[in-house]
Amino acid sequence: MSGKHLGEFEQIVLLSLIRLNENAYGAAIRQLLHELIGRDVAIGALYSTLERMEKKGLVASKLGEATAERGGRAKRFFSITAEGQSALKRARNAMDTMWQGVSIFAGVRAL
Amino acid sequence: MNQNSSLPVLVDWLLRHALPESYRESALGDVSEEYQRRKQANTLNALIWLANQTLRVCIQSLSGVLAARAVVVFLVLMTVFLLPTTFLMVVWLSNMEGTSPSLLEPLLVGDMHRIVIQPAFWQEAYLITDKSREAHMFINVEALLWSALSMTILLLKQSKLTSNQLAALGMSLMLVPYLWGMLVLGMFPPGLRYIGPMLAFTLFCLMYLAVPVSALVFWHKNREIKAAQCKGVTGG
Repeated sequence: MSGKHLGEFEQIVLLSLIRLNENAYGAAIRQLLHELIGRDVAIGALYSTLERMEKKGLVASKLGEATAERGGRAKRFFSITAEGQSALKRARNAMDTMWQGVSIFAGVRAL
Repeated sequence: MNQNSSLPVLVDWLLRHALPESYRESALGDVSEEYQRRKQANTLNALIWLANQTLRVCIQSLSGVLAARAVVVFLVLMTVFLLPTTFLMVVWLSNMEGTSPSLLEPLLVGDMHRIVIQPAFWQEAYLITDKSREAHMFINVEALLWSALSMTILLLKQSKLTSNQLAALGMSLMLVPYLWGMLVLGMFPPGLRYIGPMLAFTLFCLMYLAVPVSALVFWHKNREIKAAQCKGVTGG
């Protein structure tokens, strides 16, 4: 198993890319995170996470169209790679395993 | 790239300088887009949001810069402390006619660091600030020779060392005379009359080397960071 473990924020961002599909760029990701989980992410923090994941091969990006409201700057669209999907699945499996038999209210159930 | 920003000039300037080049334009575009959208709903809220985003980007950038240059920050802080302290100590020692027993005991064994932490030293140093401070008081030939030798070693070695290693070597060369002085004076106390030259040598080595060592490490670290950035751009 390649050792690419994902942090909580990385998992959230990767899930955002899947949800937004073709429209996953900075402002849209920020808006989605705000709407779904009430998290106001700084644009710098979001981009540094995306850039880090791109270097790890979990995410790919391409430049899109530029618009006037963006001051003539191009959008940078992100997508999750196959490696990113595998890492996300592993992270979910690990969390599912850890949650089995655990209740926050009852503590660890006697096995 | 010189494009119409659609962001206030100051914000644009701050973000342009704080955001890394690799995603600067995309992030600026995202901020512009969201700012314009929020502005249509409420201008004041949009400005508050923009100020908040700018501040967070600046803090992130600054903490990144400081973390990458931790060793330089340490050296600069050390220099800021060492220069006035050694200056005061030289003036204090040069004009000393008598001192309190609590300062005399560490002075006789060269433990200047124990003197610095005593309020009595700062009181005495404050009282002699109007005393003689002639230029010749701050010239010590042995310390100048040691400093020149140290800087030569650092300059010769710097191409083979990382900035952290260079900083460690520089600090070692600054501290060796002081530690040597402490050791010799602790083992063979020469008495108050003969202690001056040795103390002067140890103090002046710290004073002379603090700024050039910090400057050399700062320059070396910047070069290292630029090289890493170039490698990242060409490699990516």
